[in-house]
Amino acid sequence: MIRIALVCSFGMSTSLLVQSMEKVARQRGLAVEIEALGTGDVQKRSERIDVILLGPQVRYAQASLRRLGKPLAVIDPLVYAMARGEAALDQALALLGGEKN
Amino acid sequence: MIDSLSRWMEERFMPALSWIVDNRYLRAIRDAFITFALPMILVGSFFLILAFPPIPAQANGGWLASINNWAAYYRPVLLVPFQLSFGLLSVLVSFGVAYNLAESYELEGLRIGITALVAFLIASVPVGVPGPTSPLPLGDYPLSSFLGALGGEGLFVAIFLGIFTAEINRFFVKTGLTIKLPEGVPPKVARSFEALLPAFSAISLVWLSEWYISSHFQARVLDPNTLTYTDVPATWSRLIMELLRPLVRASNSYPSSLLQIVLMMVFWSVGIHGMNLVSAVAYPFWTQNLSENVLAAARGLPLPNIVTEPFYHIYAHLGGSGATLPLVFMLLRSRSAQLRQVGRVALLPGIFNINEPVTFGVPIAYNPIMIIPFILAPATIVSVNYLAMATGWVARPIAQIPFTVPVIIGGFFSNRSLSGAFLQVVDLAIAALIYYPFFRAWERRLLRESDE
Repeated sequence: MIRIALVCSFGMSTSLLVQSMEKVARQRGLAVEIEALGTGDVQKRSERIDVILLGPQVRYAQASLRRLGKPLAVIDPLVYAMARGEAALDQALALLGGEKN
Repeated sequence: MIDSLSRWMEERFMPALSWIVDNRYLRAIRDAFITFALPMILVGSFFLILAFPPIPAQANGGWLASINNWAAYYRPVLLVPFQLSFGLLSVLVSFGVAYNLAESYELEGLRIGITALVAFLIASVPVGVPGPTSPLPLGDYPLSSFLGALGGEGLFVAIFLGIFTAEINRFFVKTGLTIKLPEGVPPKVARSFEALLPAFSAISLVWLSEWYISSHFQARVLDPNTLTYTDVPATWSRLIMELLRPLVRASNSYPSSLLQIVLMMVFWSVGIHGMNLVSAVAYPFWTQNLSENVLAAARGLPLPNIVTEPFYHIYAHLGGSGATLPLVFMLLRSRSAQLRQVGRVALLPGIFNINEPVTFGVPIAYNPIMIIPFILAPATIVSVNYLAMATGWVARPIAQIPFTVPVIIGGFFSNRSLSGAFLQVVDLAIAALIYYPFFRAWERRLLRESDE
């Protein structure tokens, strides 16, 4: 089970992308758990997160969230805007893959 | 040029921003509002709308008037859930600030939050005011004389004591000043004693200073019954409020409201959550201003303030930051397939005032053509709204409702008047007019590029 956190200001606008990512994951038969979080909630949940994707509008939080020691990246603005779950899911998986190698 | 601007943003500006956002005090305060106070602000506002139903007072006869009469008669009852939720805002904030700050220092948030809450309660009541035979006991003051301090009036003291309590705990931990118990005492027992000293110190310091302040100073407050200013024994809450009143007043001015919206939109123009950044500083002021409006309404007075949370979230950010709802409808009918696609994705979120698909999909961020209306439309809307509310054409905000409530419904409930819904319609028209030429220019540009 891969646990992905999508982070924005309140966890509201990312929830769109979460739906789309979950759909893609189901199609691929991947076991993932995707959660939309606000910037303030990430720290408390960090034990239950494997990889963090940030919405572009909160990319200023990158530095502080990096301290959690989880693989982390900012989602491409267009991917985010159009809620392209496939691209975002690939990005999360690539981040994890990069860590294992 | 836009590339070098964007590089400059990422390399120089972003670290500065992350300093603001990472600043543990600002973050503790902001999270205290968002996670600890906001749920009760929203619940309280719901009861407030019940107590002051959005029905014109001049409704004569019929069932509308009978609802009004019913609400007026039962108002003292209907207001109770509001008074003890939103009305205890500062109590929640004192706990929340201390909790968040303590957690950021990896100290026990719960215990320190509770200490701060008690310290704040002490700072809200007069202590040791000289009486005929001995200092006056707490029971001599009516409950109503405290309620203001536990709500909006005490906000800044609540924030201050939240920080103070967390810092005093950190000081004790850092300096190792604790009660040392002999070896063999179970560690859990020892820890419970260690926690006592900072809590005892924080509460004693607040209590002693409050005693000094109440027995030596007077503060000028508005008597809710006679509507005249009277001198009453000072408290920490009343002193700090007097000190900060000029700043709170200034926050409610037109230049301040314009500055705030322009800052929000400049941040969003480079793709950063502007509402988030500005509210980190502005939230206490918005809430303070809104609380004053609520108090005025409860006393049947005209509402004094305009610049509140709903002033932005409900009356300016129509369809999301930047008032992009009209733009979404233009996108849906665009000749560019790309923009139509963005419009389709953006429509439903836009109705609930979420517009990241627009900001990053059109895109507006880092797009010099679209940035112009993106700043100009909200700035114009804020100016028009401020004027409309300052002159009394449109009722002022009283209820803070979730920002996701769709346009028109939100406008109606936030100031419990049809004028609020009407204002939003006017604002939508303004936004449409300002966006249209820039939307056309951007569309032409995209079409030309796809032809080449």
